[in-house]
Amino acid sequence: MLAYVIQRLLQAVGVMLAVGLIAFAMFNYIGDPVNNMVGQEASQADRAELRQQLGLNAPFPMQFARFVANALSGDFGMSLRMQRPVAHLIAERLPATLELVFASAILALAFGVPLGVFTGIKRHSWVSRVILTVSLVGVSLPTFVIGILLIYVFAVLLGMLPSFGRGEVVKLGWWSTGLLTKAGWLAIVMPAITLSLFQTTLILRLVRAEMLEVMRTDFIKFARARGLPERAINFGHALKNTLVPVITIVGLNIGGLIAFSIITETVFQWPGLGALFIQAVQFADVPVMAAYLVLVAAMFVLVNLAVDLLYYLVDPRLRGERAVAGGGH
Amino acid sequence: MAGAAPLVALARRAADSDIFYSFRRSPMTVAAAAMTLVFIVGAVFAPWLAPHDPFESVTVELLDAFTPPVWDARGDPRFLIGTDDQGRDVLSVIMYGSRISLMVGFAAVIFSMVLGVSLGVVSGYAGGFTDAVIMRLADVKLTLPGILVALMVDGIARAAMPRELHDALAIYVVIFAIGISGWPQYARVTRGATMVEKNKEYVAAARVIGLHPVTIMFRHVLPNVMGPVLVLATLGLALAIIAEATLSFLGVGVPATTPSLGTLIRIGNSFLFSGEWWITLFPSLALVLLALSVNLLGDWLRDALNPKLR
Amino acid sequence: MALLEVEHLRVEFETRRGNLIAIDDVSLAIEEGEVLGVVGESGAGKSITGMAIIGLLEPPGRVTGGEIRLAGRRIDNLAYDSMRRIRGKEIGAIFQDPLTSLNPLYGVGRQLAETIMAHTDASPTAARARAIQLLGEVGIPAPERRIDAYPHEFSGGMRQRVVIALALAVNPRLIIADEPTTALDVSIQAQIIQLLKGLCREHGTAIMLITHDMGVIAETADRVAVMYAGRIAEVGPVRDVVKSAKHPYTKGLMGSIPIMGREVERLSQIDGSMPRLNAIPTGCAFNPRCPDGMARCGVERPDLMATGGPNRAACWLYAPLGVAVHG
Repeated sequence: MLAYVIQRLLQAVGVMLAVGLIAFAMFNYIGDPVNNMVGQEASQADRAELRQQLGLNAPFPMQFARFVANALSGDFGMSLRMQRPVAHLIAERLPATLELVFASAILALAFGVPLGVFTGIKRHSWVSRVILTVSLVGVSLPTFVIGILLIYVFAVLLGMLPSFGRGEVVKLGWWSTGLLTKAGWLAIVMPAITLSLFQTTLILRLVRAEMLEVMRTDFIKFARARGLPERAINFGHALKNTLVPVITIVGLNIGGLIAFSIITETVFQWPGLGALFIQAVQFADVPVMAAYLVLVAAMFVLVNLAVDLLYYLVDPRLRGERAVAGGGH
Repeated sequence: MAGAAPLVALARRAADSDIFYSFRRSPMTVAAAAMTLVFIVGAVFAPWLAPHDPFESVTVELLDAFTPPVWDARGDPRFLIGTDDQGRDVLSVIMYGSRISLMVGFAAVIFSMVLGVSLGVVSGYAGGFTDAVIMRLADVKLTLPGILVALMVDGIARAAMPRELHDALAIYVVIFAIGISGWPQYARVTRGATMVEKNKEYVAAARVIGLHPVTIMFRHVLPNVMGPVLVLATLGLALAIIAEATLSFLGVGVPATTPSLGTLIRIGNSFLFSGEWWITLFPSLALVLLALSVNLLGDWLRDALNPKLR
Repeated sequence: MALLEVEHLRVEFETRRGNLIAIDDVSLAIEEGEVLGVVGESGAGKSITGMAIIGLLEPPGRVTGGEIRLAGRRIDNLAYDSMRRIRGKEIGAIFQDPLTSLNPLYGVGRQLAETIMAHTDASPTAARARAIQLLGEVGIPAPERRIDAYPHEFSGGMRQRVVIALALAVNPRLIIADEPTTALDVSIQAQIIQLLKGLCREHGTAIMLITHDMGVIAETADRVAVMYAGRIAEVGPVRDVVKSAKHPYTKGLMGSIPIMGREVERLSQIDGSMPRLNAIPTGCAFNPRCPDGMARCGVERPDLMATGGPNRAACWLYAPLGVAVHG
């Protein structure tokens, strides 16, 4: 177990270093790193001095080591466009994105898993067919179109929900949350639904496919032959055996949620990281892009690590230590 | 690359199999195929079919701006589904826009396909370290959401190129940015088929007569992977069209001078609140119909050819 | 009245190219405590008959004719939940592969306990105690320590013992054992068969033993039914079927000498192979391969008929009087 965790941790560090290298390359070789540090307003003399200070002629490994050290202490330089430290910008925007992603993940799981189980079991019912057809439409609906349609119906026509922003936020230390006010809750409804819809259909289809697969296995047939109640077979034996692949995909999809939050945040003018990133891309704000890349990679790696550890809880075969001599295959 | 022989073989196999049976039996698929055809014809022949030329400043009148669809009391029979903020006919703009969307979509898919199939053959033939590196790269690629990769590529291109150069190359940047995410699946399928072919005698024979084995393998591997690759390409086309629309909607895709569906939706979005819903909703509808039709076709194709895709 | 009576059972598979008849007019009976062997080549319909009896035919397969009665009560037309209460409680089942019959994610104790609690009022504690007792009965050493182990922690033979414990958990009156030892190592096949037979004798449980291994049948069964292309070719006491087979097909089958563990996948004594379901010839299905074929065999299908001995065979050789006997 410990060896496994250490191995996964080392892999995670490896991935982060690789991403760091890309970010470093972007930061130093695209555009002017001095600009990246101080912004365009600095005088010629300041620049020369800074160049000296930064030792930009130092050998590559030295520079990369310094970049990693800075990144670890949260220093990603200055935003070219905003003239503020990238770290501050990110700290400001992070809560909005995390709340949105979290709400969407909950929605996607709460709808995707039960619907997937249902369509997997009641394979031939017309309700399943309707759900599947609708889900195919869901896959073909671009996130931003869903957002626009929701805004048109619920904000423009019905005037029920706000179409942009986070509503009223409350400060908890450096974290700003919209989940403590009614306006905040109203504001997150449409963005969360928009972001979750695609993931819901993915989870639904995956759970369904896995259920169909598991339902064909011998142990389900044997469970039926033992006369177990259908509920125990479907939600116990079958669903639990779909969990490993489902956890994998859900884990990967949290990464997807972070990526697609860029679009949702743009549609709903949600003041999160995604909106920050898209502005950075539009204005070629390299330090912000580099920092965003590192941050998203870190989230990916953390989620993947969590997924690997979850496998341990779900599947006894991975725990292995108690296997007896001559037993098991 | 491989000439017409594989195509003929595929067509024959298709006719032999139950493919036409399953096509006729599924009205949804027939409808999807018809819809896709309508889009392709409408887009390709837009200059002849479109009721107006939205990019000809002589015919576009600012006075016509914000005309609602004809069924509205303020509608104008010249503009079936209304006009946009500059007085351009929305239907014509959609036809021209689909042109860009489809072109970028097809180009991106072809790019992924060529890249993926080539890497797959090389990976499957070379084995060992090369194979490990390529497949590792594919794993990493598959875990990264395509849209994130595309945005990064576009951002880097913007930072690395002068503005005018970027604008001139924007459409190629978008094709590259979208296409670069698609290759791993093609590579996996092709790699598997290559590994099967690799040890057959003709490969050794080719070497004896002085041909590079990879050259001859392309010819033999391609017919084997035609089915799965076609399915991947169809489903990939829907994804690429959506990706392009998304990039353009976010304002980092094709330049506004040659608008795609995504650009139109982005432009129209600002008028949603003032009540001019048609400027954004019709292009959205077109986009969804196009993506859905292509997806349905891909789904049907996967079931009909039943390749080892899962 | 026999414990299980199957009469004129017919099972069809609906396909796009028409209905395939997998089981055609099969009748058999199993007495209380009796071991009936069902033998035949792969695809003869042995397993489908077994699955039809416990009501677990997989679509598109379904029973389209005949009756199945358990202790006189008709069970082939029961609602799903009524049939579920019979499965496990009245009729247990054991399948071929012990490696895949157990849920890998649940401990064996839990799987035993849930089976017991599904059919009785036992409390969780009582069910667990009974589970430990069952594991002991099937010969798992130190059952109280192994009760929480997962399937992958047992060897193949031990897993099949667990499967037997599961099938016997609430003392069913009949066990349908479908190739219970085929997936096992030859060295432990005999042990498992002996265990199954011993336990069933103790509890007075009848067994329908489905196998293509004539050796297993010869050592275990009281009576044997030979199946060919979805029909019963011959049925009778095991000694008579082995020693003096009547049907030409059975004779060929017996040519492959009954040694425990010897498999009868293909019959070297008879040329050709069993017809596929979509190409069953008119008349007797065995006719094209039959060394004793007559003109009548290609036209008319024989039913089971008396042969002068204890066996009955579906063969025109035994119809001097021209009277077919049913049942």
